[in-house]
Amino acid sequence: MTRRDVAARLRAQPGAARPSAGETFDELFLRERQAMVRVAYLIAGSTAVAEEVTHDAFVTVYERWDRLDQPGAYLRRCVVNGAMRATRRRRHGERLEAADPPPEAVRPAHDHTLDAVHRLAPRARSLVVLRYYAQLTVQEIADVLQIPPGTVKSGLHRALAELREVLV
Amino acid sequence: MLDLEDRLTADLATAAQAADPHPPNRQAVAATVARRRHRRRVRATVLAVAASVIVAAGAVAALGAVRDDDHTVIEQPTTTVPPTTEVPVTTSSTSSTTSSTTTPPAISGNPLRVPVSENLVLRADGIGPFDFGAPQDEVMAGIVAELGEPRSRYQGGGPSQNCEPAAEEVAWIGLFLRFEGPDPGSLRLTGWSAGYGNAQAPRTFRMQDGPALGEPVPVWQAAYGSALLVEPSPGPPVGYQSLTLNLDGVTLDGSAGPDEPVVVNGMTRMTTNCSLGDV
Repeated sequence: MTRRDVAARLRAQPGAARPSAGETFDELFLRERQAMVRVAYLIAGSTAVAEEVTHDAFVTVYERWDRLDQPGAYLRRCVVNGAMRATRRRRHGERLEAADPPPEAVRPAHDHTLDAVHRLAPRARSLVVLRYYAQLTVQEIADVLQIPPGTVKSGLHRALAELREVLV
Repeated sequence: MLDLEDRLTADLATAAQAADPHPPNRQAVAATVARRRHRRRVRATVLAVAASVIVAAGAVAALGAVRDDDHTVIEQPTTTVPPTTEVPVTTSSTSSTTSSTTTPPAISGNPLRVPVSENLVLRADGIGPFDFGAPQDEVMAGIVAELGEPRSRYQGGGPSQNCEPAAEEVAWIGLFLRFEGPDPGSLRLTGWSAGYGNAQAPRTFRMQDGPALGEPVPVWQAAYGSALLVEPSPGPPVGYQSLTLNLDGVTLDGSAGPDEPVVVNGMTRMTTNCSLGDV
């Protein structure tokens, strides 16, 4: 499956649609809840953490709904920042959920890719997930992480170089 | 063989699908929001009670010190209440009475600290000239003309909050109104809640043909007789009383206390069970 195929499939899913103006919280919730929990999972590496982070992000958006110009973008920022915070906390003490993986022979190929991504620093991991899973543009990633587009590009370049050493 | 970027795209999508984390539940999100608001409300109440106790203690100490020293009476004990026009309780009711109410008797020595709004009287079926069901635009224009711009607004709605699909609460100091409707453009007045005791409140409110918030409980009891049920509020914070006022079959909820003299400090009339939260 090529990147274009996956991108097309993601766009066909309700969860991957872009936020639109004038929508209600419930519309945003229904459209984004699955996409967001999967983004959180890919960054945090834990389903439990992903579910908690996504729940908290929606709560935050709900409470500030009337003050948000772009609730969809704010939601993504909450999810990504929450997942990165959880990742940093776990690096300081907790064991990763996948720290004790099954034997190599029975592990599917995508697990190797995910492991390699999870060895990246939290910021680099977020860049990779937002670019290659969420299919965001450089500018959209810059908006989510609130960093310059140039930093996104250089960060992605470094992350890909690290991944290339492991995966290729 | 896929290049690295294609591989990342494909494998991350597959990994996310395989892990299948549970997306959040809408009811759980609403419940968490409600819990957080409740905690904030409790915290605010505790702080308000603590502040009241400190102010009261300071006032009592100041009065005691003056009396002990030279037996003179100070005119204004030191409190956080801003200078306001004092209105005697006996002036609160000037219009005709209904079958179920009487003009409250005067109790000397308990002047209200702020003026009473004569245009926005509290009614079982609305507030001021606005009945429940009045369009939001119309109500807002009238209330803003009287009280100025609101200090906050909160929007929500839907079955998870026991509200109509769209709902909004609009708050001024000492008053908030609730509006509900099928969509944000068609909201109608469904409830009011008025309070007394905020040091920044520019005015207080009174019942139609009845006493004002800020007047002692006995004044209210004299006005409403057995239609007003006064009970100690269960649990902390102590010293508060719950009021249940039955006006021709319509029930209003209120509160009083905790300081002496115990004054009525809140009254609420909501026509729905909408639980949008605090503002």
